[in-house]
Formats: sequence, structure tokens, C-alpha cells
Amino acid sequence: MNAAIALFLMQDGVINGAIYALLGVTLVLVFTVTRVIFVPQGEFVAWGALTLAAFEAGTTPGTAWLLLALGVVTAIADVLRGEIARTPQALLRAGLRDVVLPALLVGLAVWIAPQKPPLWIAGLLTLALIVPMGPLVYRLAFAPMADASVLALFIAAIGVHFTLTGLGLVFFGAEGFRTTPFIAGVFPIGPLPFKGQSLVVLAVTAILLVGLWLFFERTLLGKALRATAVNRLGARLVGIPTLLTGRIAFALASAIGALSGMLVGSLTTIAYDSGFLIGLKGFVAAIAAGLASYPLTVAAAIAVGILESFSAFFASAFKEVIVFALIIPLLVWRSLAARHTDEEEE
Amino acid sequence: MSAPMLRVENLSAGYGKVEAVRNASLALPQGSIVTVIGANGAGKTTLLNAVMGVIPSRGDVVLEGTPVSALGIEARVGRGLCLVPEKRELFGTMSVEDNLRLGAYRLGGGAIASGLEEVFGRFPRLKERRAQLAGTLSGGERQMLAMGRALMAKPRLLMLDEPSLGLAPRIVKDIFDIIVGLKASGVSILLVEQNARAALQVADHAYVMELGEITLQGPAAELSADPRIIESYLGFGGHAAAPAS
Amino acid sequence: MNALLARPLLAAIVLIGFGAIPLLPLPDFWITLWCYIGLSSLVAIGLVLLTGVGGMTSFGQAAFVGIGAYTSAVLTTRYGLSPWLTLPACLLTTGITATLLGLVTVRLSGHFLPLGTIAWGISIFYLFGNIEWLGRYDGLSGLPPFSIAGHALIDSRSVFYVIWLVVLVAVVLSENLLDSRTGRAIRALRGGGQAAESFGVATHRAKLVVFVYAALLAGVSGWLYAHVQRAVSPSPFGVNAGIEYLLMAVLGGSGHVLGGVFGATVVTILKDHLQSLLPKLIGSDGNFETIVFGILMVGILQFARQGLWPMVLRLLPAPPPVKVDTSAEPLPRRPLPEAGAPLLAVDKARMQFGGLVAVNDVSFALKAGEIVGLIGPNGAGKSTTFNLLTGVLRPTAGSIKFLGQQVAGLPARLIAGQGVARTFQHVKLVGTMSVIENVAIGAHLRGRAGVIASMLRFDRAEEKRILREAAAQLERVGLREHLHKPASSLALGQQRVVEIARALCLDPAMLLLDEPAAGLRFGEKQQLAALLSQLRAEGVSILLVEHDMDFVMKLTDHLVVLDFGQKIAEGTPAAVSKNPAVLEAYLGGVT
Repeated sequence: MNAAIALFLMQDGVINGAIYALLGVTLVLVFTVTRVIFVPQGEFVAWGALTLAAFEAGTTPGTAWLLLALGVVTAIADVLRGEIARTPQALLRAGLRDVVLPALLVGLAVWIAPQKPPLWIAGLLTLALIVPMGPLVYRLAFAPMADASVLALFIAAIGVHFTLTGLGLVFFGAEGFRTTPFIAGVFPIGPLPFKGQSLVVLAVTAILLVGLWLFFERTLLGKALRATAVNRLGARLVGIPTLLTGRIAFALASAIGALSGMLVGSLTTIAYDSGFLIGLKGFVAAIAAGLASYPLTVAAAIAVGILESFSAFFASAFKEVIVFALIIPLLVWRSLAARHTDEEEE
Repeated sequence: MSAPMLRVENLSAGYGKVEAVRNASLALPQGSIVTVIGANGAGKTTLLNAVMGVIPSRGDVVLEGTPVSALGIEARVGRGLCLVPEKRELFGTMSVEDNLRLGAYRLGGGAIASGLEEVFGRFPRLKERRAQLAGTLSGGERQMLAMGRALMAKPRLLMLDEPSLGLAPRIVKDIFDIIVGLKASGVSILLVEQNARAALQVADHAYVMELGEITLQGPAAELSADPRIIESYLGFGGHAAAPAS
Repeated sequence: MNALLARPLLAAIVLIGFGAIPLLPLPDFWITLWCYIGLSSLVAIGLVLLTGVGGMTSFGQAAFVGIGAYTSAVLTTRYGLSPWLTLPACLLTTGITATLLGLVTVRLSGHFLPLGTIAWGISIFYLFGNIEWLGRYDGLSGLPPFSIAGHALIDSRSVFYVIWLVVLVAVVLSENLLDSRTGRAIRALRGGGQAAESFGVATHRAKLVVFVYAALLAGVSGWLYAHVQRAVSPSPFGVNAGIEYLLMAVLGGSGHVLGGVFGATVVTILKDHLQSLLPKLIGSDGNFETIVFGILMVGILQFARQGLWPMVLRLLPAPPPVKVDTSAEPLPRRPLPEAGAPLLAVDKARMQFGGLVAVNDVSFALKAGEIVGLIGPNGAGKSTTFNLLTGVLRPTAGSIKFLGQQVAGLPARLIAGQGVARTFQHVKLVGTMSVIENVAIGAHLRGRAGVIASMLRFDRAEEKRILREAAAQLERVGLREHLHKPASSLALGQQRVVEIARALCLDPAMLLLDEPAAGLRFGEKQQLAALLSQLRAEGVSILLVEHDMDFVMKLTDHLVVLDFGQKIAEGTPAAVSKNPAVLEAYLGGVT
């Protein structure tokens, strides 16, 4: 291996790492705010890419119908559970939000798709279809058991992953797709050629991370999310509705998931079940950071990306084995750290 | 003023199968300080948690004539009910000022600026420490911050759970001075205290809780003189000579 | 019908009926399905023990099935061994892998463990799929079937008996294990294990034992699978399979061995139906059953967290209560130090949390046969001091000697081994276990039967002695009529007394009681005081933290008063109650 290959592998690793960083940061966010270890994040990644690919192919993406179905089911479940009051106004508001709005989006998708919209319109529509699914999934699966243990919520998250993967298969089929890059072509920077899409990935990641930072540091709502993460009871006592913060966290998760999917869609082939492994690599990073620290998660994600690209070069068959086996020593390290804090908590 | 600030009727609550509060009833007139005293484990904290909606309960909780039993915590905060819990429940990794700002989460906007001014006026110590992380404060400062955060929500009824817990006597005095000051500015207060002596000195009316039930009540001044209270809560287990006051 | 006979009779009918299944004129297809139910049951039983009983969750069990299957596949196809002979090798490879993974992961808190299991589940799957020697993604085929006396068990009707005999053995061994000294230790893990640790249970070891046991059951399932299917490939051992196994355990129900079999049955039959139904509905091929499984998983967690088996159990006759044999030989007692001998010496014990000094160079001593009270206002450092003495916390500095031995910084279970028993301020009983089983955990260190002995029932003589001791201690504290009730059904005050009985089961030289009188009524307090006085007369020394001054004043020989982490006074109750520093600490008013 020479320096050029090493640099190339580094570049590849950093770009994949940037995606893992986005996913890892979201996982930490969702976990701290709602205590849900959100495994199904990966499904939003796959759906982001596949929805964009469908618009490019001029077909209506299955996610449109899925959104409508999710909205209807969630609205019915919330009415049955009493989460939506059975007054005309409340029912009307819920109907507009959970049924009419998704139906309008479906209409828009059906109308626009055959016209093969420009990439940016397809991208925006993809986000519009997928982002509402995050809060809907939260309301349907997790909010009713918000007081359950982390373990129970985690098992439920695995259940949601199972269901969403199956639905992905129904709506997109088993075939894999690639999207066209947002910026085509190759740009030489210094000694290295960079794909346009790689630059987009790095730029979007940087913008999102800064945006998240501003949201959490500068806005009252962002601070309310942090407060919920730090102390749930304290947050409720000052009147922060934890159901609302949960929905916002899940909306961020579906938004960042879908966006990541649109970014990687042109770098690698994505099928209905590809998201799981991509999401799990974000997890490896999040776990390395103890599901707590954002900067550490980003650093760990970049490290995972680089490790992955180097293992792909040296032992391509064992790439996944190496990345996931890495978790074992990480867990040892975490368990030592965790024991330490256990003692302090007593 | 017709309806009392708070009326609790036949309230029962607990954790799991154990009922820590049984059929408790009490009333709190507008603008007064009412205290609930009792031994450790008597159910006082459970009572406050049930009134706040932190734990489920049976019975009625009526705030200014409106039943609130069916409401969640957030909605009760919106109706002017605030709890300063025994464990303070601050946002430890956030600054003092952010903790206070979040106290006015429901009011937002202009209420934050005016609220900060008022709280900093009442607790100058918090103003000095406004940029410090809440987790690094001393015990007394934490209690001030917890009270300050609750005041940011402009409560009409403030419930304080063991505000003197773990504080040095000098700071306890400061805290109780502030409680008296709050009453003067029109806030009604429900005070749960193990330091029965201090609580009875500031309260208008008092309830005694034993094993989850309210066993005695009366004007604070009367209860201070009740031999049963002196024996159980004011003396030193009845073994000490009457303390000099 | 005699209630005692109802269960064995029912079991016999079910067994005979079940054994007759292959003889019935059912389509082969159904018999094969039941074979697969049996294979899954083995894995699910292990998961029930791991998840429902031990409180650990694994999505990686399919990997252990794979290790068992591949081990036997390699040994039979490449080395020509008989399938019967490869079982020990399968147990060895699965056991070693599980021990290595377990050593790392059982120490992890709640959610890190299942995350870890997903990770190794994926790693092992890709490992199977990429090793040339294991046939990569094609796997290995042409495995020999099981055979008896030259007769190959190829058709599902004959292999049915092999599989279900193994399941029966697994059920019996697992039930035996749960109903034993080790089983109680494992069942006590769910509440976090702090109480179990305080009675000498090495909780990490107990966790490792269940973890390896569950993996071994999975390995045996893999061994059977390899020779029923007669081919192995990576796909049945991936993470999705692991998730399905967990669904079986969650659906069946936590804590019941047969719930695992029930869950395996429901999921396997459901999967079969869905796999033929859904592709027709949807119009293409694929594993669409995951949609239903996922919804089922979330639904169970939302609406029936205990699983479905408890609902079935309600229809069955109740199990007989644990039998207590009062004629069993009593357990040996420890010699108690003579009254007045120095027992506990705390010297400048200090506990700092960051900048906060919770216990500030506190010194005091306790002589054998004394009752000493540790008092002070809330937040004075009493609980922290208590945690230093019981090994929950390691002191920053200072010495704590018990019977002349340094115990500062020792883990709780080793301190228990020295004869120190404790109760907890917040009652720590396992609510679903009966009162007598909870109390028997106290005698953990007075027995020695291990896992194997328990599974094979070689522990019965010792078990009788332990249960007799537990019953005797419960009688002593006046809870004889509550022996067989679930601990959670008792009032809080009674639960505190159960904790005292559990502590007495350790045969302690020193008893540490954390607010024993809290929540007791007046009469109950008097009974408790009488009991403690009687224990003192028998030579047991007691240290208690208590808020009820009246109780403390009448009972104790000596008082230590803490305030703000420092000892501000000590002496006889009468002297302490006149001490001006104490009066100030307790009565410091605001005017």
C-alpha cells in the first residue's frame, strides 16, 4: 500500500464516517430525550435513498402510501387510547394533521413523480414524506410505554425495526437502487480527486452538526430537549411536555435519517434492508461515546468509517466482522467506566 | 375570594401496591402558608407528588375551584401549581440561567426577562452564579435555584418539599425568610417539612401526617402548643428537657 | 379431584398425548413443524432463563445455535465422526464462546448487553459466511442423520422423539435449577442484585452461569438442527433469527420455563402460516412475516408485558407451595464473640464524592452484644456511613475493622461472609418470589450446592435444611402465616420484617438495620423492639440507623450522632439527649 492509496482510503473513510456521525448523533439525541435506543433509524436512511430513487425513475414512492397509512392508524390508536380528546375540535385538528396533510402529500407525490422533478424538488418532497413518519412512529409505538424500562423500549425498537424492514420490502421490493449525485463530477483538491457528492456529504454534515449545536445552545425549545434529557422529572415539573419533546426528537431522527439516505444513495447501492447495517455503524460510534457525548460520537464515527475503509482494503470479506467485533473491546472499556459511575451514584 | 386555593379530598396514592397516603383531605386558603409535618416515611412527599400529578392517585384535587385530577403535570403547571421537589431535580449539566429560563418554558418571551429580574432580585447569589453549571452549586444554592426556577413559572400555589433538607442552620433561616417574603407577595404556599419547629413558626395552619393519614390539624400556633406535637416533633423524643426557645 | 394430584396428572396426560402425535395420521408436514418447534423451544427456554429470570436480554442466541450446528457439521463431514459423539464438542465450543463473550458483557448495564449481542450476532454471521473452510454462504451439506442401531432417523416421525426428549430433559433441568440455592440467586438478579450481593451471592458469576447455560441450550439446538436438516448455512443463524427467538421468549412470558416452549410454538406456527399467506396477499416473495412479528413484539410490550403464558397458567391448577420439613437437621451456627469483646472499630472513615465530603473522618466502635444507634438529621451522612460498613461504597480513607479484620473496601458479599447481615432502607425483596424463598436467600452462604447438583437434584438434603432455617426465622419474627405468599403482597411494614428474617438467616454476628421501624405501627414497633432485645440477649450485636427517637432511646446501649458528615456526639442515650450540640442540630429553629 502506498501513500496515495492510504489517502484515498482515509477520504473514503471520513466520508462514510460523516454519515455515521450524523446517525450516531441522532441516536444519542433520541436516546437521551426519550430513552429509546432507536434501531429503526436505519430504515429511514434506506427509505430516504429509495424514495429519491423512485422520483428519479418517475414512479410514486411507496413511502407516500405508507405515510398515509401510518397517519390513519396513529390517529385511530390515539383516539382509542384517549390521547386525542373526543371533542369535535380536537378530532378535526388531528384529522387535518394525521390524515388530510399526508393525503395531500400523497397527491403531490402522485402528480409530480411522472414529471421526473428536478433533484432538489425530489429531495424536498422525500423529506416531506419521511420526516412526519418519525413522530408518527413515536406516537404509535413508544409514547404509550414512555415509562417502561430502557430495556423494554429497546426491545420495542427492535420490533419496530422488524416491522419497518418488512414494510420496506413490500413498498420497494428487494432490488437495490442508486441515485444520481447532487453534484456530479470529480474535483481535484490537493493530491486527491474528490467526488462532487463526497463534498456535498461533508458540507451537509458540517452544516447539520452546526445547526444542531445552535438549536440546542441557542433556542428555548432546544434547551427544553436538553433539559428533558438531563432530568425528565425536572423537565415535567417546569411544564415541558415530554410527549412533545419526544416527537421533536423523533422528527429530527427521521429527518437526519432521510437526509443521510439521500446523501449515500449515490455513493453506494441501497436496498430496503441496507439501512440496518449503516445505522448500526452509527450505533458503534454512539456506544463508544457512552450514548452521551456528541463530540465524542462524531470522533468515534469518523474512526469507524476509516477503520471500515481500511478493513475493506485489507480483508474485504471480513469488513463487517471487524467493524462489529470492535464493539466488544469498546464494551469492555464502557463496562469499566460504567462500574465507576455506578459507585458514585450510590 | 370564595374558593380556597387548594382543596384535597380523600386522596389516596402510593407506589405499586403499597398505599403511602390514605384518604388525606386538606384545604389551603388563598395567600396562606399551610404546612404538613410528620416523621420520615409518613407519606408527605407522596402527598405532594400526588397533588402535582407526578404519581397517580384516587380522590379529588381542586385548584381554585377547578378539579385538576384528570390533568397531567404540564397542565397543572399551566394552572399555576408548582412543586419544588425534595431532590430539587435541577438540570445539572446546564447553567443556572438556563435552568431559570426553562422555568418559564410555558410563558416564554417577555416573561423570561422579567422573571429573571425578579428571581435575581430575590436571590442575588444566583445572579453571581448565573453562568455556572447547576450541578456545581452548593446545597443551599441548589435549593435557591430550585425555588427560583419554580418562581419563573409565576406560580399561584408553590409546594415546597423539605426546603431545609441538608442545609446549615444559617441557610435554613435565609430560605424561611424567603418563604415568608413570597407569602407577602401573594403566593400561596404548601410546605412539607421535617423541621417542624421552623415550619410551624412560618405557617398559618398545619396538618400532621402519620403512617399515610392526616391525624391532627389546626392553626399553627395552637399545634405548637399541643403537648402531643411537642412530645413527637418538637422535643427530643420526649427525653430532653424542654429546649430553650 | 385432589388438588395435589391435579398437576402431575395433567402433566402425564399432556406428555402421553404429545408422544402420540407422530403416531397419528397427520401429514408429515405437521410433524416436521413440531420438530422445528422443539428446536426453537430449546433456545427459547434458555432465553426465558436469561431474560425473564436473570434480567439480561440477548438478540444473539442464533449465533450460539450456529456455533453448535457448524461444530457438528465440520466434525461429521470432515472427520467422519458419528453425530452422537459430537455433542460434547458442540457443548465445548458453544460454552467457550459464551464464557468469553459473557465475561465481557454480563457486567454491562441493562441496554448495553443487548446492543452487544446484536453486534456479535452480526459478526458471527459474517464470519460463517466468509470462511472458506465453512463453505462460505453456501455452508456445508451432506451431513449424516442421527441413527440408532444402524437405523437412520431420517423421517420426521422418528427424529421427533429425539428432539422432544431433549426438550423434556431441558425443561426438567431448568425447573430444577430455578428451584434451588443457585436458582434463587439467579432469580434475585432481576431487582439489580444488590440485595443478593449483600448475602454473599457473587452476582456476576450468577449472571455468567445463566448466560452460559442459555448458550449451551442454544448449542444443543444447533447440534440437533444440523442433523435434522442435514445441511448448515449462515442464514438461519443471523440477527433476524436472534430477534425471532427473543420474540418467542417475550411472547411466552418472563420467568416461566414452559412459557418458552409456548412462545416457540406460537411463533413457529404463526411464521409458517404467514409465510404461505402474506406473499399471496402482497403478490411477491419475501420474509413479510417480520411485519407481523414486529407489531406483535410492540403489542406484547404495550399490553401484556408479562407475556401470554401467565394467562394460560391461570387456567391450570396452582403449583403446590414449597414444602418445609421441620424435622430436617438445623444448619450449623457460627460461634459468636463473647459479650463485650470488640466487634466493629471504625477509625476516621471518610467518603468524598468529588468536592462533597459526605462522611468526614468518623470514628466509633461497637462491642459484641450491644445495640448501637446511628442518628442524625436528614442528610447527615448516616446512609453513606452505612454503605461504607456494608461494602456498597469504598471509603476514600480510613479503616473499618470487623473482629480485628480490615473490611474497608471489601465487596459486599465478602463482608457478608464475615457474618455481617443487613436490611435496606428501601425494601429490596423480589416481589414475585414467595416470602420464604426471599428469606432463604439469606442462607445462601450456609449452603454449597452448585449448578450441576441443583439440576440433578443432589441438593435436596441441603435444600431442606435451608428452607427449615428460613421458616424458623420467619416464625421467630412472627410471619409464620405469610410463608408462601408473594413478597409483594405484604404491607410495607411486614416487608421490612421479612428483610430482618432474611438477615437472620445469614446467622449474623452483627446485624445492620437501616430504619427498621419506618412504616411500622405502634404495636409492631414494640414487637420489633422486643425481638431486637432478644437477639441482643442471644449475643447478636446490632447497629441501627433510625429516625424514631423514642424507639432508639429505649432500645440502644450507645448512640453515635452525625451532622453534616461529622460525628458531633456519642454516648449513652441519656447523655446524648442533653448534649447541647445535638440539641442544636436537631432543634435549630429559624428565629
